Amino acid sequence: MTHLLVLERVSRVVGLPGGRALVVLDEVDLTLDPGEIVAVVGPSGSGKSTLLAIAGLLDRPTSGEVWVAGHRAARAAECGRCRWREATFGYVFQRFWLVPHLSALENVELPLAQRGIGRRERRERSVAMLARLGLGDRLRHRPAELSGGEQQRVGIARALAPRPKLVVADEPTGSLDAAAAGEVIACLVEAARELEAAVLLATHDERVAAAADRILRLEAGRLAS
Amino acid sequence: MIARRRWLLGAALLGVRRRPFAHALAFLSLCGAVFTVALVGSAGSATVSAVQRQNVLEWGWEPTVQVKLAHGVEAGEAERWRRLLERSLGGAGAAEIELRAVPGRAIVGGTPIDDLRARAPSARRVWPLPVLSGRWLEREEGPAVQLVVNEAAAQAAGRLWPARVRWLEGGEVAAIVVGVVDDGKAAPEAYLPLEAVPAGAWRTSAATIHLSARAASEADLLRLVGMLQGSWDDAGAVDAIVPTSTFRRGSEAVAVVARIFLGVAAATLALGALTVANVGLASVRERTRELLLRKAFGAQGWELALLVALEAQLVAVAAAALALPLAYAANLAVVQLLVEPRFAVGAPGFPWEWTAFGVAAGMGAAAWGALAPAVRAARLAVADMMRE
Repeated sequence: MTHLLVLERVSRVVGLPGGRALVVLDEVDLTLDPGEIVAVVGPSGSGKSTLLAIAGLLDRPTSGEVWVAGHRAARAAECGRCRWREATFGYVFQRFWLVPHLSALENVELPLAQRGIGRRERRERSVAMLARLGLGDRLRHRPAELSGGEQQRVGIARALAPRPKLVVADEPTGSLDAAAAGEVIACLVEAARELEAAVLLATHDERVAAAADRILRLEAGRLAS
Repeated sequence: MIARRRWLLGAALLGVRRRPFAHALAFLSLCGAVFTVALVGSAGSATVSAVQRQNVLEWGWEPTVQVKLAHGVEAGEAERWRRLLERSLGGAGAAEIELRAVPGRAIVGGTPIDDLRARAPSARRVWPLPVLSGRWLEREEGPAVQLVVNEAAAQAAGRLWPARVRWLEGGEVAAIVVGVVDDGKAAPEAYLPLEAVPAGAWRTSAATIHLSARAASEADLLRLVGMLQGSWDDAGAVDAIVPTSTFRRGSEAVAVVARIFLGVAAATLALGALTVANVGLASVRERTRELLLRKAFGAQGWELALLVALEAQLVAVAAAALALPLAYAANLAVVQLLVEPRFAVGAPGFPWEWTAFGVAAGMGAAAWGALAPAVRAARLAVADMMRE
């Protein structure tokens, strides 16, 4: 079976003032199969976000290769990477990244509209997804009118509404209290399983990571297990 | 491919709606630019046309030089001079003959018209006055003299067209009115073909022959006058009239106004572009999150650049939609201000070239202004999303 995502000896080196270099990721190997939920845990600065950015085609590795559904993606042209991002990935961010002047419904519709999905269909899909995540009565609310947990659930709905094959979630509970974090991670995992989407999740919270099928530990840019 | 990018229009409209005050500023700025450009062009060309028309009406000949051969010149001699002028000016049709103050009177509907002028039929090529009714000096077989009367004469005659021409020497002949011309003159006048004038009338002291000729420049005119004075027996009989002076004065006035307005137009265009740039940069800064999200969802850099440019173009088109009617209204006012009322017959046109140029200038300024914001939007690094 073709892996959904493969990272092969991926390194990321960042230049620092004075000609020094910081190795953020050091020859990381990672595979992810369809529908699999994998958590990457590690302390702050261990390279989790960089790993997810590279895995989600938001950044390029300094060396190594990224395979998406059997295609080389690390050095592919930007237009090709854009198409893969559109067709394959959904993103959940620590700070939600909702557009403040749009309602919850409009935020969820945003990626659907960009894919050329018609108004009626994207509305139906967005409403269904928000209802699925318990926000059926908050469709017209703007982000500022929602709690942190609700905002992240809108973020999850936005990531899942286009039915991606892989959701890249960077510290999805990082801005939430423990109760909201549990609720949000449960929502994410359940909805992803329902849609048979794989999830690559970065967190420093072991309780959040426990919801995953597999846990990878990242320390100083290297995977420990 | 276009259907796949329909979201760009929606996103651009959303961007404009989101920052109404900033975009209103860009709108007003571009509106001013389009208005000024359209006004400069349309009012300038309309005023030049009106001044040209004024010149035509004043002198009966659009171009630049008239030479008056006092009197007593026979038809054949006048024709010889016409050919000489033509050769000198280098072209067939460059010179025409007009016999003024023809010794006779037209009687139209019982009303006598003393100001009778004879023109060569070809004069209508260069004398583009609108004929209000009938035809303009069309040749017709038959003994009747064909007359064109001006509006004042038509009104005086009560538009009753039975007409005849009574020569001072040579009796009376039947005439038909073939046209009413709007020549802007208050006094009744009648025009008839040169061929209709009896040969004897050329020699009377009452007749004045005008040789009208096109001269491209003041130097040509001086050369022409010198040549005529050198070869005419009676140098005093040569009279050079320079109808160009009216036109030149008008044109110079228009040119000065146009230069001022062009300066203002250039300034407003630059201001418009700067405002669009300023609003665009602020918009990109404020919407970084939305733009990065769109990039994460699969939008390419050039699509984000296009989105920003589209926003500016939407504002420019809206500005043009308001500015053009305003420019048209101002155009009317300017022309009425610059041209003597008696010559301002009818509304001046609003040339489509200047309409198009005004819109293009506004859109160009918007495109220029949107360049920096568009580049900035295209270069947003989507990797930064994970670092926030």
